[in-house]
Formats: sequence, C-alpha cells, structure tokens
Amino acid sequence: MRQLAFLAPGLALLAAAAPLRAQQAPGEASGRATATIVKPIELTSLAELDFGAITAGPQDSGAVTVPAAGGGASYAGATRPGCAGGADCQPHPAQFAVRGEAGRHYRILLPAGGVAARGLRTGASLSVAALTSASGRGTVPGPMGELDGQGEDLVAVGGTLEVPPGTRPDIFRADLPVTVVYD
Amino acid sequence: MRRAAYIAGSKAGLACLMLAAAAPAGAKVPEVRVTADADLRFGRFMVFGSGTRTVSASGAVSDVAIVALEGSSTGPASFTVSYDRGNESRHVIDLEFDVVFTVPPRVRDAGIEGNLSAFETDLPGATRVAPGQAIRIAIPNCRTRVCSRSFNVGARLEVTRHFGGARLAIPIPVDVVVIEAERQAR
Repeated sequence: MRQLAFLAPGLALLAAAAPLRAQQAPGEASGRATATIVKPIELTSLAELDFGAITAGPQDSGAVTVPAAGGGASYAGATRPGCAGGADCQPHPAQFAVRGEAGRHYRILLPAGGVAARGLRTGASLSVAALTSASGRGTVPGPMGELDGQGEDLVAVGGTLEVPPGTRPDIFRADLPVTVVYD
Repeated sequence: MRRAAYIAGSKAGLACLMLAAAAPAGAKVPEVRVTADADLRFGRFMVFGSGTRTVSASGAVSDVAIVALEGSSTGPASFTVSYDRGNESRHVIDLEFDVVFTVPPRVRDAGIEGNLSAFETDLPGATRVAPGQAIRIAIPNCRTRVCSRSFNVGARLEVTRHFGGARLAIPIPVDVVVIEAERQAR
C-alpha cells in the first residue's frame, strides 16, 4: 500500500515535467536554386557576299541581285556578268556557320536599310539593298532558323547591288553586319 | 492479508491504466518542420565567361555580364516553417525558431560552374543572411494546433562558363530548431 501511494504521485510528476520546449527535434529541408545557362549562339563567316565581276553601261543604271537561297545571280538594267570564268569572280551569297544550343530557333537580323559599298580607288559609293537571308543550310528563305541536333546550321545572305549610271571601274567593298539571336 | 493484497493489486492495475492514458497510442508530440515550397529560380540566360544574376527576396532581378533571354521565369525561393504542437496542449503559445542556411556547395555541370552567395530574406531584421547565421522567426499567439510562417529567399548566382550550356541545380540546405514554445501567462 505504502509503495503504491508513492508510485502514483511519481507518475503525476512525470507527466507534469514534460514542458513544451523539451522534445522537438530540429526540422530540415533542402530547397533548390535552378538556372539554365544557354550556350551562346555564335556566327562565323565562311564566305563573303560577292556580286562578282560586272560590266555596266555608262548611260544607264542597273542592278545585280544575288539571292540568299541560291539559284544564281540576276542582272537588271545596264549590268552584265563580267566574269570570264574564274572562280574568284563568280557571284555568290555570303555564308555563315551558326552554332548554339541544339534544337533552338533563332532569328537573323540584317541592316534594314542596306549598306554602302565604297570604291577602293575612286571612293564612289554603291548601295547594297534588299538584303535577304536563308537558313536550313541556306535552303529556307526567311529571317528564322532552327539549329539542328548538333546545334549547327548554315545561313546564307544575299542582296541587290545598285549600280548608277556612270559608275567608274573599281573594286567595291562594304561591311555587312549580320546578327543572330535566339528567338 | 489476502484482502490487502487484493486492494494492492487493484491499485496497481489502476496505475497502469493511468500510465497508458498519459501516453495514448495516438499521441502526437510537438514537431517543427521546414518545407521548401518553391525553388529559387534564376531563369534562362547566356553568359560569356563569367557573370552574376541576383534574384532578390522580392523577386527583383539584376544582372552583371548576363544576356537575358525572353520568356524566362525567375523568382525567389519560398520556405515555410511550421510548428505542430501535437495533441497535448490547447494553450496559447509564443513560438520562436532559429533558421539556419548551410553553405551551399559550388556545383559544376559540364562546362558550367555556379555558386550561390549574398542570401537575403523578406523576414524583418534578416534582409542579408550569411550561411551559418541564425535567423530568428517569431510566431506569437499561436492558437491553433499548427502554426506556420512562410518567407522568401533570394540570392546571387555567380556563373562561369568554360564551354557549352547546362541546367544548374544547387541545393539550399535549411535547418530549423525551436528556441521557444512558451505558454502565455494569463
């Protein structure tokens, strides 16, 4: 009896001695930070836009158009092809290698107003306008492209060289800025 | 003697019943928990060499030497600290916790390296937080069985690109301990 009378208050004390703060285990979790770093898109020039050798009449204007997607140059007005057959005087579009993230779409940006080509000897200026582009290894006309499974493509750029009357013989050069961005 | 033994036996049985009642099979002891509700999202971007992107606790984004890409989703991490008092008490209690962020590891995936720094939260008094630093969170007047508080975490991501691209995932380990769970004096 005496032993039991001692035991029961002992239990009561045990219950009262459990304070709220005594028994919590620490909590833990792992959050996460995420980021997708996209391989930058790069453009490498493989070939220049070349209008080739041209002959032009002294009285009339003319134009030479080199299409981006191939098909050969066309001559309008007083211009005629002037290449005797050498490979370095044949007209051809510019060609660029594009590299980036596989499967991503990209956009080709060209100068909207064209560029000016300056004569190395005379300093005369010719206008290169109506710039066009083609993606899909140069076969799909338009400003959009898609990188293949290796993250590669070829872009071609063409345009129209306007030749005013009285243009003196010269070699004309222009800087043609071409930009590609992920779409 | 035999009667006394019977009474003694009877009381011993009662004591055992009381013990069982004090710790029922369904008893739920108090528990503190922290859950990660949302990732810290730095979004999608390009970097040439090295750059940093900071996403603040409020979600503001600032870049250094980063080329942002359109349509990229960014945002702060969100955590919730919750205290479940169990079923042993219905008193109004004041709660205090310490939350500690462990130093996150520097990660590398293919040609991309990244690490987190400059942690910040939207908790009062803990705008800037160093890993290992305890952040005190108070929940006064907790009247329900489970009381919780959510907070946002921002940080700065430093990225170095050696080649290619990658999707980085950096763990943010968080620990929480109860500092105080005190019954209010009436």
